[in-house]
Amino acid sequence: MKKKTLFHVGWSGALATVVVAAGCATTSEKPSNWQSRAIPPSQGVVKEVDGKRTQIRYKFAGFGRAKGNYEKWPTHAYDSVAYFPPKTAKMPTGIKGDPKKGHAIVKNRQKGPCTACHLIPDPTVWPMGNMGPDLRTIGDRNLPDSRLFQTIYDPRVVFGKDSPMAPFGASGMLTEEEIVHVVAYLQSLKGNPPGTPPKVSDDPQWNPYTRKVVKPDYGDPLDPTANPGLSLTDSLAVPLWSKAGSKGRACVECHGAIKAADETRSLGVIDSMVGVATRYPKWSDKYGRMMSIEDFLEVHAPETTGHAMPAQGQENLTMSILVKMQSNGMPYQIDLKNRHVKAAVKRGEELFHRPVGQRGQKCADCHTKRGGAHKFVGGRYLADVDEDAMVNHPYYRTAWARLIDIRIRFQWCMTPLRTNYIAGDSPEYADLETYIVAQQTKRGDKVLVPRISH
Amino acid sequence: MSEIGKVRMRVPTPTKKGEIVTVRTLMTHPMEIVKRDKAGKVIEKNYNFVYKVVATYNGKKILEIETTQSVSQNPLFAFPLKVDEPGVLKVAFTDTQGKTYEGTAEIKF
Repeated sequence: MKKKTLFHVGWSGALATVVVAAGCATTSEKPSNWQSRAIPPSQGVVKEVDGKRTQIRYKFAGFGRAKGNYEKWPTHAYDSVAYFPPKTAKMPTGIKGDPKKGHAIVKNRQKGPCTACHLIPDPTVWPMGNMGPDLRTIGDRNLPDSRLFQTIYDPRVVFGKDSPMAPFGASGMLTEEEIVHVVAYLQSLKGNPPGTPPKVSDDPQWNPYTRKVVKPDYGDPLDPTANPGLSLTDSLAVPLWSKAGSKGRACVECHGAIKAADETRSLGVIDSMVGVATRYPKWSDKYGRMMSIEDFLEVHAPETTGHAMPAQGQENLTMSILVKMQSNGMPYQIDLKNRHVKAAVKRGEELFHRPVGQRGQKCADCHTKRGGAHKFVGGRYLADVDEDAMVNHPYYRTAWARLIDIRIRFQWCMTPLRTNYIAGDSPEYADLETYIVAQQTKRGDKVLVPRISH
Repeated sequence: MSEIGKVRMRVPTPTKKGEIVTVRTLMTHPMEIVKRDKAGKVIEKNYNFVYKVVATYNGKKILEIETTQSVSQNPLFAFPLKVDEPGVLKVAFTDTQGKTYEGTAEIKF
């Protein structure tokens, strides 16, 4: 009890600092500069390696295969450059389009990839998405070549600035000649009778319009014998809770012991932590930014106990799980009336609609109903920020056999978008997370950590 | 998963007498695999793997499994159990280094 009082004194001390600071600066407008404390690959530093500038990324899964450096393109950083405005283009006249070459370009996964969003009548391409229009009979629509060319070159001229499609020509991902071939291929796609797509595959899973969303059953996520995320937490964060750090103190001294487990908190109950995670991300006056549990642990653990707990590191991920799972089953309720939180939600929403990377795509392109929400991009079914996108992270990702938090998830989204990711513990990602948690708060979503999912 | 021999158990609470529940036990163990040299000959060594799993309910043996090193690392065993009376379920794992690790779960109605 005595220790708990100490904590409150520290908190009001921080409040007092702001009262002083409030006179000279509006702290809510933009988060202060933040020096990343995350593990090195999460910081996303661009360095010269073998005479070539590259972003230092994680080594696991697809991160290891991503070699490109997109530092000249916009990122989610607040000081990043803006994406270029829409560009009009004329179809070059000297080149004759070859449908065969066009087909090869459309199929090439290193190019668009067009088939991630569009369906073409080719049973060998798998899996295709339905985020964009079905192209199986596009030739029947008798669209002028110039219009198709402009749509691929820079769709924003045709459909407006919010178009979920990337400007493949204007951003240099496809050459003008390649686009001419693609146009020729598209014009050759005709139905019989017109408008009826040819039947090329009997597999309902091939066609994203008939594909079923498969949700594999991994059993009860809160069962330590089913979810490896729990056993990882049990073997790392649980002993760490009562282990003294270099400052001679341990979490348990202020926050209390881990008591016997119950149904939703299967690694034990920590009374003082019940409900805490529902109020995060929270504004920190001391650091002038929004902080999730992960961000807060990264600074709080070294300050108090001396334990190093860099963001996206295993200690941080598992300790976040241990703390967050104390709120399992309770609805998210971040303080949406707080002016700092309000400002962060607004900033997060702006980031959500910001075009990033070479492709110039936005979170909103895939995760709103105007874009790809409830549809497939490739074989991936996309969540809707207004309905089911969630921050019930960290979770155990079976495909990678490791724990990931929402920041690694953001960083992973950036990689196929030809974008350099920013540091996992950056205030920008915290604002983006706040925006999502604000939607969850409005919906009354409940905390469930750690999940186990593909 | 550093702690060798930690046994995690999950037993659903039965609602009535005679109900069949699925018991899941996960044990942390390296389950070493027998290695061979370049000539294909087995390298002689006391490989550490679990070779016997015994489950007892209220002291009565209800299950015995013989395992070899072909069972995966951190093995998971699940088995159905008909619960006629409340009691204590114990699952003991014995490995080739002679150590026995035990997990306990209490079953109440």
